[in-house]
Amino acid sequence: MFSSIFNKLSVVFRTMDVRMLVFVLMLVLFVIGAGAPGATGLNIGN
Amino acid sequence: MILTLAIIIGLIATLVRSRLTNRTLTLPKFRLEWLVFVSVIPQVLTFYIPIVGQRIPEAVVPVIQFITMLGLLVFCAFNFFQPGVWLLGLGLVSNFLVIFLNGGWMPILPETLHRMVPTQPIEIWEVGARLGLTKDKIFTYEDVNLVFLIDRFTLPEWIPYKVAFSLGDIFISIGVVVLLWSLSRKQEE
Repeated sequence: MFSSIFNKLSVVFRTMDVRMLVFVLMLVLFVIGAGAPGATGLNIGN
Repeated sequence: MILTLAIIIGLIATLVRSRLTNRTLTLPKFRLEWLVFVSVIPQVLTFYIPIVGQRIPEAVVPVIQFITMLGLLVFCAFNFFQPGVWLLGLGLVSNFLVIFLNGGWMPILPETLHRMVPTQPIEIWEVGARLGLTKDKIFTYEDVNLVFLIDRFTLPEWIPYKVAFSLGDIFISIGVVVLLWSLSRKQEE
């Protein structure tokens, strides 16, 4: 089971551009740092 | 949520466009990319990792906000002419200004929280209290500076996920979509 998961992951990483991953990660971090959404997921007996 | 949604929408849109037009995604050449990673790490620790965030004194949080957002402002200034970055910068400046002018916290009104959780009485929202481990603090309308830039927008009631967001967050979301969309543009554009 684990070997099949690892095989699939290795295929994904072979076909994916690492620079693209870094770019998306940078964008996610930018959004975390610059954005200020509040009360996310607020749920009080609602 | 709207910010994450913007990334997902932008990614899907640009991937579909590149597939339909047989174009390869082209990454913009950013300067000082490392600054984003370095700047945001303290915020990730403060706001997204509860075991760390709980140990950080509230008095320090505004300083972390200020310094990290300043780093992102420098990044935007150096990359201002990349697609969508001016919108990201506009959103960042909006949030930075309102946070800076309100003691290092993003204000949220009890009325906004009541709109999100109408089943609870408005009195449960204690003015001056921090909202969990977020960037938000509860302010009264009279005490807020730049009220039009605070977390005042909410999602429609029929959406079960609750979140309040600011005008700055809207600008950032649009900027993210514009930037991601630009990845699949023609090389000559």
